[in-house]
Amino acid sequence: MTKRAVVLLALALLISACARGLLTRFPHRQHLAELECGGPGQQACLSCASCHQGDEVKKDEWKQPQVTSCTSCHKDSNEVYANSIRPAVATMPLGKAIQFKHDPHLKLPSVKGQCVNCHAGAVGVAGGDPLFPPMSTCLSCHEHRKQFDEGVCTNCHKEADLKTLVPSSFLRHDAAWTKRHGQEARANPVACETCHSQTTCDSCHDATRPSSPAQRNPEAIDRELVHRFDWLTRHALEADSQPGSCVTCHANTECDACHVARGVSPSRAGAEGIHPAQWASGLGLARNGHGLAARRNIASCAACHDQGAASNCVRCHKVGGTGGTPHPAGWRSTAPLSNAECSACHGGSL
Amino acid sequence: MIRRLGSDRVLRRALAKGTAVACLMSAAALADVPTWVDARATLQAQAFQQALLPGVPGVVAPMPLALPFTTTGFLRFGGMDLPGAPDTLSGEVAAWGRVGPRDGLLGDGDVTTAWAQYRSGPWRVKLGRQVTWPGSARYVRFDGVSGGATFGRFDLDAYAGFVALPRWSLPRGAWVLGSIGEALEDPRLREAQNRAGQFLLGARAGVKFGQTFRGSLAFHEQHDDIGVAYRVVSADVGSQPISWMGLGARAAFDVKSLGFSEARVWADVTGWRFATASVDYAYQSPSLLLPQTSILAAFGGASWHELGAELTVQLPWRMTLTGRGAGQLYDGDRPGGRGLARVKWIPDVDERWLVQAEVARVMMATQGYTQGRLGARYRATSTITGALDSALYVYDAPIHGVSSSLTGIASCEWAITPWLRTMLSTTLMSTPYAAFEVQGLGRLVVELEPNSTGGRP
Repeated sequence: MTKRAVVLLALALLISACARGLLTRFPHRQHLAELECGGPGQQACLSCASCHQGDEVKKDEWKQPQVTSCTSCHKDSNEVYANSIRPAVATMPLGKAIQFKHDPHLKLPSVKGQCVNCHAGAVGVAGGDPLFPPMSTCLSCHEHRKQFDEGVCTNCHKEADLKTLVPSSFLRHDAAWTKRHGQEARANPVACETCHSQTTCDSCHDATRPSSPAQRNPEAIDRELVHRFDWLTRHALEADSQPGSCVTCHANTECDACHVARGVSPSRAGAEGIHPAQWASGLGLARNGHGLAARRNIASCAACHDQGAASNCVRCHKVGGTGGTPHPAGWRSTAPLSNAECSACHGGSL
Repeated sequence: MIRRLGSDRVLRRALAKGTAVACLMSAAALADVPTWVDARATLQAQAFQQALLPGVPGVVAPMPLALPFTTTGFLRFGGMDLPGAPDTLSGEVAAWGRVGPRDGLLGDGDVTTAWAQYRSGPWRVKLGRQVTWPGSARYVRFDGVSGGATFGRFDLDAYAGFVALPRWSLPRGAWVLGSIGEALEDPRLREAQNRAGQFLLGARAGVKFGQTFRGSLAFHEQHDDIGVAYRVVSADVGSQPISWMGLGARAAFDVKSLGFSEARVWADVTGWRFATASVDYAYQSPSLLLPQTSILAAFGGASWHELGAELTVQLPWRMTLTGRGAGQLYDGDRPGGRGLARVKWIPDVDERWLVQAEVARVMMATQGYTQGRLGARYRATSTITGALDSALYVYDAPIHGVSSSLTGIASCEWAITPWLRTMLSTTLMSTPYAAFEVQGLGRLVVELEPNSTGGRP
């Protein structure tokens, strides 16, 4: 591929990416910047006000154009109009219905009556920036920056909308947000409560619900849900891949509950053995891998073997047992040996 | 009054009047600031049928058909007045109930949320069943009180209460997330619950300097019937030094074992309109994430590390490409890794179609799998939407003698009105645990506020 082709491809990528921001099919740039107008024998040039300004009575009320706006130039105005608006089936992007008065903003010295100071996309390259300015445009004004820093959202946003809006500049819910949102929630739960109910968190995190979020929402194919498809087969592999991750949401007793029901937990008499032969016997043999596995991911062991003093681990690893000390190098605990959990192994040596 | 009445205000008003929120609405009518109310109810009928369970080759072992029926309810309100204190009271209630095939008529259920909050000026107090995160490693639900205050840059919060049982830290018999087995569980395996000694307390102090810096220090202690299960001190910091970059870190220190149970550092770059990127490092010590009252918490000790990155790029033709990769290092074992590439395509501005394809690979020391996924959603009209989703998993080593699993899901949703939606779905699976499995789901959602995300199914 030549250098020129690479540059062209990169440009195409950029332009197409920008076009994604379009919220309407109307060719704003064509009407505002590309029409031959204003000259002898030509039509008058258009401005934003030509279509969006209110009538004489409500001049300060900026509006969505109607089909009559097209009639003066287009003979097939109905068809032109229909092709330029979002289809009825399309969902309107959230958060656009802010409480906003155009007129006082247009009178600001910094704006100088120019709509494109905020709506740059209207005359930008093939769609350019979004027609709706990002919130950072609002925050360039000191007054709104202060409101933002103080967490006052309702001066601009409707409180109802706050429940469904996704921040685009502050706490942006993208770039691995799903992975990180728990950390943010721990750090600042009050900020989450501004928009979210506790039940919103529960819709994914409530492990008591009788079916998983993926089962309850089969149509939500684009949601980041963990337990999709054949999770039953995969869950042990995932637990092995990211040890400890399960217990950040699930108590290990929850795991055992299912393992008991399915007959693969030592809590159930006659349980099926799932480990290979000599998994926990034959000292020094290659197949005796239980020690390494336990050291690496004890949470997985606890999913079946955590019966307190009755755990079969204790039988061999208690003081005086044949298994030796199970504590890893550098093991520390501030708990006295008389503790219930310590005395299960150390009881005889006290 | 309820705000935000839509085009079908008559129907929604009728619904509102027919529910228990009527009393809240009447109280709200007297308020200076309008009270708002959110409510949602869902009804779900499911059917599970497994067949050809693995066992002796060729033996058909049919399982009984399970038909659990689940209902959920959610209600939230805000902006209510108290005498002399307008717009200070808010609250939330949510619960679910279920009738299953083997649980008798009553089935199962839980109140997941039930709290009221008083908020005035810098002060806030919340009473009831709620969740807390600050210092904990886990999502903890409790019955108790939490309170806090914000003075300028400084935040202080504290909470205390009884851990919500029987639904958390539950002995054997708890429902298990994510498998079909919950419908087939034997209630005789359940144990009596005992809340004695199951309590928690914690606090968090934070400071914030605009978006430039925020940080907090938190403490969380949780007891179970044996003793101290968790005693954790955690710290977190975050910063947005420039508008297109976010940085953050968190560390949790287990006071009882004098070790770090987990830590995380991340950086997000969101400066380009066509791409966002994130880098993330995580550290965990699994034994310290177990309750320290567990004997097995003293058996582990190895930690593991993960370094991951994610990149999302807007491609031409309204395509979005997401690439995600992470490598894991385990003490005393071979490293692991996982990667994913996903393409999401929304062909037109009307967002009628959503097509999604995904390939993923996960590698561990002794096992691994490759996943392929293809899904599509089509909005046939403004009220009818259909979706298809499918996935193939190929396992490196056979499980129960089977090397792959295949799943196909079809669903169709009809929004009869903005506040009444119904959906039918069927799932077909062939897995190492069931040569053939079918699940059916019927869902009905009734909501007072269609824009609400709270209490969604």
